[in-house]
Formats: sequence, C-alpha cells, structure tokens
Amino acid sequence: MGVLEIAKGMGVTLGKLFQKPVTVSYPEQRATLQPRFRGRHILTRHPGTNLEKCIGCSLCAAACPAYAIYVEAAENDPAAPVSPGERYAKVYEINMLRCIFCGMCEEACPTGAVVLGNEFEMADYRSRDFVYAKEDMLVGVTGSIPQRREATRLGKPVRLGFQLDGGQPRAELEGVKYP
Amino acid sequence: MKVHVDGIEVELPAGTSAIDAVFSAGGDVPYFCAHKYLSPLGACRMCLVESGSPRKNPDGSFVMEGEGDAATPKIFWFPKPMASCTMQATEGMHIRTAKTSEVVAKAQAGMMEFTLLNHPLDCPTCDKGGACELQDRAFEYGYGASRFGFDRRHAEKHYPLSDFVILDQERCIHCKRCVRYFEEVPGQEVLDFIERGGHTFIDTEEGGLPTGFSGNITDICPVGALLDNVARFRGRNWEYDHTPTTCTLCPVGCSITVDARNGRLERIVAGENRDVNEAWICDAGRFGHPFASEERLTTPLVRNEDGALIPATWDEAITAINRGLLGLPLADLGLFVGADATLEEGAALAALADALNARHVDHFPRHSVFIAPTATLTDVATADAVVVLGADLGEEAPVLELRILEMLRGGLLPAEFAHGTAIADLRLVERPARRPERLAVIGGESRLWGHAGHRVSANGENALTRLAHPDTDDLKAVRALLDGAERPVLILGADALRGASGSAAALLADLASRTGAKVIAIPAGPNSNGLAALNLVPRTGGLGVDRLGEVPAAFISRLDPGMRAGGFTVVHDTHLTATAQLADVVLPAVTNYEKRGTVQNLEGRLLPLNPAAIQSGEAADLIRTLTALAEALGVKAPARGQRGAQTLLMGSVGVNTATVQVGGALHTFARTFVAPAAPHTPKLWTERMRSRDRDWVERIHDLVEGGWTLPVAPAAPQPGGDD
Repeated sequence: MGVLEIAKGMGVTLGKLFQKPVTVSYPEQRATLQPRFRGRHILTRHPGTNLEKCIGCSLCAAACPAYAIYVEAAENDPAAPVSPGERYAKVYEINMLRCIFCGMCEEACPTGAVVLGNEFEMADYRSRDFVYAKEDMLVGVTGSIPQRREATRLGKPVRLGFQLDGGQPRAELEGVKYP
Repeated sequence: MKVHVDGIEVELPAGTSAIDAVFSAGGDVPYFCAHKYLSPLGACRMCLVESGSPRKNPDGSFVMEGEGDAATPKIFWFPKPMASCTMQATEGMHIRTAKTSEVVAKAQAGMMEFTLLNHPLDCPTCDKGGACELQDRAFEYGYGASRFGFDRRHAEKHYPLSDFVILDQERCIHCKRCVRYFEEVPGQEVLDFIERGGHTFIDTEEGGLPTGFSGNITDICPVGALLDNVARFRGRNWEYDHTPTTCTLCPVGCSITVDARNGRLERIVAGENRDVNEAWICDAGRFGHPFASEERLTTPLVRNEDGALIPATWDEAITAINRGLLGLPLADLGLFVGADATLEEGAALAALADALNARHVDHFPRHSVFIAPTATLTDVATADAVVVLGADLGEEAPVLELRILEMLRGGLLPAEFAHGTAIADLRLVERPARRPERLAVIGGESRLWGHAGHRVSANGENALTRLAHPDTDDLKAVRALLDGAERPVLILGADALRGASGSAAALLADLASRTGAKVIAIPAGPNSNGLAALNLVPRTGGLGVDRLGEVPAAFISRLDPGMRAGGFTVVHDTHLTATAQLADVVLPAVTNYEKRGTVQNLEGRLLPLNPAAIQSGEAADLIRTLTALAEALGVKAPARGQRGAQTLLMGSVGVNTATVQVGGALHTFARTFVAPAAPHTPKLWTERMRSRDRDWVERIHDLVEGGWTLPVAPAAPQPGGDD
C-alpha cells in the first residue's frame, strides 16, 4: 500500500466535509419518509357518509402473522349505524408491540378499512399503552398515544417528527392529513 | 356389487347411491343438497358424474366389446353427466368424477357459476364464513371468477324467523335441506319454497318457527342463509375453540361441539353420534348456553360479621368452613349434589361420605325407583310399536322424541360406510309415509300427542297399572298394539315414575316379559342413571335434600332448593342462586361445559365430557372442591383430582372411565341404590338459560318487533325482473 492510496482515501474524506449532510437532527428537525415507509395503522372512513369502512370481519386478525389484532363484532343499530351493512367492529385493537408492520392486514381487508399509515413514534413506558384501540387509529386522530398524551399535558397540538416525500399520503390513506 | 370409480374397483352393498360409491372409493364429489340424515333430492346439481353400465342382450349375456379373450362388457354411458346423489349404483357401473373427466369438471364449475349468480358474496360479514360449504366447494370446484355482469337478486336480509334463527334470503341457494329437515325429522311443515325460478325464496307461512328442534337448520344450511341468532357476530369460525363434548341438560346425552372464544361460550353446534342423537339436538341444548358466560361466580364468597357475602380466597373460604363447622360431628354434615354431576364427581362425593360416615347424602333430582334401561335409542328408532307412558318428552328428553318420530317414518337408519354415514341413502324419501298407529301416548297432552295414533288421557301415575290391566277400549287397543308388535318399546316418563315404588317396577318387569317389550325409564336428572350406581342416597337415619332444613349443616353442590340447612351451609355453584344467597360460604363451581368426566345417559351409555375453554376464574369442579372441604374438615381427601376419582370409580363400581370413547359405550352397573324421593317435575328451559345480557335481549326485540331497514344498498330494480 503506497502513499497514493492513503491520499486517495483522505481525498474522499475531505471531499465529504464540504457536502451538505444527509442526516437530519431528529427530533428537532422532521425526518423525510420514503414513499414505501409503513407505520401505524389508520382505520379509514367512507367519504360522504362518514361511516367506518371496517365491518368487523376479523380477516385482518386471521391474516396477521404476529397475532397482533383482536376484533369483536356487533350488530349495527339501524338508526345510528357505525358502518354500512349489518356488522361493525365493536372492539378493534392492535398490539403495536406485536405488530411487525408487514401489511398483511391491509392486504386481507375486504373494504380497505385498515391501512398502514406513516406514523412511527410510538415509544412508551408501559406494555398496556401499546394496545391501540379504535379511537387511537380512526382517521382524524393525529399522533400516537404518547404523543397525544404529551400534547394534552403541554396544551399544544401534536407535533409529528416526520414529513412525507411528496407531501401527500398514499391514495389508500383516504382522508388522512399529516400536519 | 362391483362398481368402478375413476378406474378403482369397489365392492358395495346393493342399493348404494353413486355418491357413496365415489366416496367409498376415496374420491370426492361436491354436494350441497344431500345430507346424511335427509332424503336425497338432487336439487343443487353439483354432484354431477359421468356414469355408464353394461347392458345385456336378450339372451342374458352381456353386450361385449373387443375380440376373443380381450372382450369386456361394453359400457353404455349416459349421454350427459348425472346427479350422483339420486342415482343408484348398479352392478358393473362405471363412474367418472371431475378427477378423470373434463366434462364433469366443466359441468361442476358451470353449476357452481349458476349457484353463485345470485349469491351476495358478503362472506366477510357472514357468520358462516370459514365453515361454509359453498365457500369451500367454490374454491375447490369453481372457475374462480364470475362472468355475471348484471345486478344480483336482492331479497330480505337478516330476517328473524324466530328469536333464535335468522334468515338471509339473498344467501339461500335453494338446496331445500331446511324444508326437508322440518318435514322429515320433527314432522312439522313450516318452511317452504315460495315463488318459482330465480325468485324462489324460503319463508314460513304464518311467521315464526316451532320451538323444539328449529336450531338444527342452522347446522345443515350449507350457506349462511339460516344462522344461529344467539351466536350472531360473536366470532368467526376459525376463531372459536371447538370442544366436542356431551350435552348434559337432559338424560339423552347428545353429542355437541362447544365453541368458545376468548373464554366465553359463544355457540353450540350438534355433533354426530349415530347411536344417540344422529345429527340433531334440541333448541335448549343449542341456544340455552348464555348462562355459562354470564354472571358467573369466579371467587369464593364468605359471609362477614355484617352478614354480607364478600369475595374471598379459597384459603379464607376453607378457614371459614373450618370455623363454621367446629364442634359439629362429621357424620351430621349433609352432602347434596345435583344429578348432572359426573360419575367421577359422584364417586369422590360417595367416598368422602364414607370417610365422614355421613348419613345425610343425596342427589337431586331422582326417582324413588330405579328401572334399568333395556332398550337403546336405536331400538326406539327401529321399533314397530312404541308406548309412551306419562312423559312430556319435550321437557324430559327432547331428542328421544325425534327418535320416536324416526320410528314412525319407518325406522330407516342410513347405512354406514368406511367414509361415515351414507351421504345419500336412497331408501329415505321425501314426505315419507308415517305410521301413527305404531305410537301410543298415555298420559297428559304433549307435543308428541299430535303424532300418536293411540292417545289415552290418563293420570300418569296410574298409567302403568292401567296398561297392565286395561280397563277401557282405548287401553285395550294399546295393549293389543304391544302384544302384536315384534319389537315394542315402552317409555316411562316422570309422571309414570313419580311416586313409583318397587311394586311398579315388578309390574313393569312383568308387562315387559309378557309383551317382549324393551324399556326406557327416563331418569329424573341428566346423570341419574350413573349416580344411582354410587351410594348417593340417604343412608340409615339420613335425610334427603327435600328435608334440607332439618339437616344440622350441609354442603350443597349445584343444587338450588332455595333454602338453607339448619346450621352452617356451604354452597358450591356456578351462579349466585337463591340458595347461594342464603349460604355462609359460597364456592365457585364450573358448568358441565368445563368439566372432564363421564356421564351415563338414559339408555345406559357412558359418554365423555370434555372441558371447553371458558373463563370461570377460580371456579373448581366438585372433585377439587371436595378436596378443599376435606381440608376444612381435617380429613384426608379421597381423591385429589380426576385421575384419583377415576381410580375410586374403578374400585367402587368397576368401570374404567378413562377409556370411554367419543361415541360412548353401553354399560350396566351391577348394583344400584334407591331411596324414597320427593316428587319432581322436569323442566328443560330454566330461567337462567335465557340471556340476561340486556343488549342481546334488546337486539332480539328490535329484530323481531321493530322494522329493520338499513341505510345502505336499497333494492335496485332488477333488469329483466317480472315484478
């Protein structure tokens, strides 16, 4: 190995010194997510009627390789239906500790109700806080359980630590808006 | 008879249907309308096969093809595929299924496409999804895609036929199983097809289904058109923990499968046991289960100084029992148990009673006479005369009523093959001729009354005496029926056995030997036959459960007499019953759905119980509870668990219940114990078997009474419709 090789290597190092860094100082700065990134689930609604798309069929739970999903169905009250049709999900829970974000639930869903979104900041202190229920995942809810808890405590809106490449969520994430 | 299926030669008895020939050769044919215990109909046209037979010349020799020694009988094929469920296999017949025939595969896929034309494909919301014959066969035999580009038929969805059965007319594929079931099995003409062609739908004429056996149509419906309303939307079929066990609501002991999810009992479906219930169970057995998951006792309760029952641990309960029974002679402790306890539990209780020298031992309900069964349920179904004395079978043993009705329509039991019960037994016919003159009912009016050719209104209690010495023309006719029959069966119910004594048993034995009749005396409790073999009756100087108030102190397991013993009372029950509310210590019990054990049914068949996965907290069965009681009393427990109780049972009555198989085995105990008993009126449905879940009750009310319109999918006008 000669001096030339060492000089070449140092040249690369020196060259990088004058480039713009690719790292962002998360969480002060927002990370930019790649289009294929998949984070926590969103339960979408039908536009217009605002009824939940989820019909409580439990196929996501059947498809889930990590057994992370639990669904209990019930019959819709015809006067005030939760979803179109006879059946809706009375209980819909995903254990985010078990979830491996493989997207099989999304693939199994016959109505496109459960879609993997982009949020990923779910770190929390107690295991039981990782079980996300319907009210934590329905479209319109921004932020994870700890983020919303923190926002309530501070009296500020939820601040998400990411931005999307292109700015708009995927088409499947109907009605989802990330601030 | 030799039949060739896809080139495989099988030897079959004459009269076998082609579909059974295929299955016994190890082949498969899809079918929707055929059912093991119903007449073959050929409605769904899915079981198409190509078939052909050799033909004979006028001189009796076969028409041959080929030359010289290589000549074989020529097979004359039917020009089109045939429905195998209604075709009889004949000597030398050749059958080709979809496995070897392109024509059949195409015909079946085409039929599947027709069947699916108007099917709504709402599998995700359908409770049948995952256990649906249509789903499975469409996957196996269908094209996989629909070419039908028009609006599907719209019809009534979620239309409650009764409190328990809900109908979706869109999903119906017109297999007619439910219609045939009601006509052939309980003999009620309630459901039928209305309209023709694509507009055909299933409905009742005047609304409502007769209670009794209506739930069976939810089992046999091959699609999700008829569904169990109690289990509606409680879980998907793959989510349930299926436990095959035995129903212990009545002494028939039907085979059932208990489906639990998340520790809750959500659904019960019928199991198949050819010797007992075939494939049918009663509505009480199917729908009367909500109590198992509602308002259960999950911890022991101990009465505190203020007189209130407060939750406690088992150790605290044992201490409380020990303190409460301090100074009481052990022999004075009453031990009472419900007659649906298993044989193992009974053996443990009898052994503890022996160890304590206890006198006040009893099980309830029971009759004061024990009449060993000599007839089996199959004997009932194949009898040529049945006389029912003082029984209301709808309350005492509903499925026995079905077996009697089976006798009336000829007593034909479907043949059995290596692949199970015949799928299509061609001897079973639609609208079978019934022989009501073979059935005599003596006693009060009951549901069976309408089917009987001989009806004698009588006071059940002296019915037997009057039959032995007939005093009226009606009774003489019944006696003549008994005398003239070759295989008569006598069935005695609670009215005939109430207050009966040894003389009645002797009279019955005499009558049975004179007429050659076999006898079934319906036991008072689900396992009364088995418990009678154990010494669980009041012993010398002892009091029965009917005189509970005079017993100084008592341990009462799963009985609800509504009163307490004279002194300290320990109640072991699944719910906070009236008796439990009066007790000093309440111990939580498990239901029979959660037990492992053995019971003996009314024909003397030992049947196994298996524990379903139901959440019941710290509840314990009687064997383990007796261990706790023995600890509180300071004596050695005779059995600490199921295995020990089985050993006890082996020692006391010489039967090894560890080897009892799923279908059960007939067994006669050498010795039985009887004692005078208080009269008891059997009742199948108890108050707590109805759901107390307010939501559920209101939902049923809404479905039955309220108008049901959903804000989605309005019935669009159908192109080409004539309405």
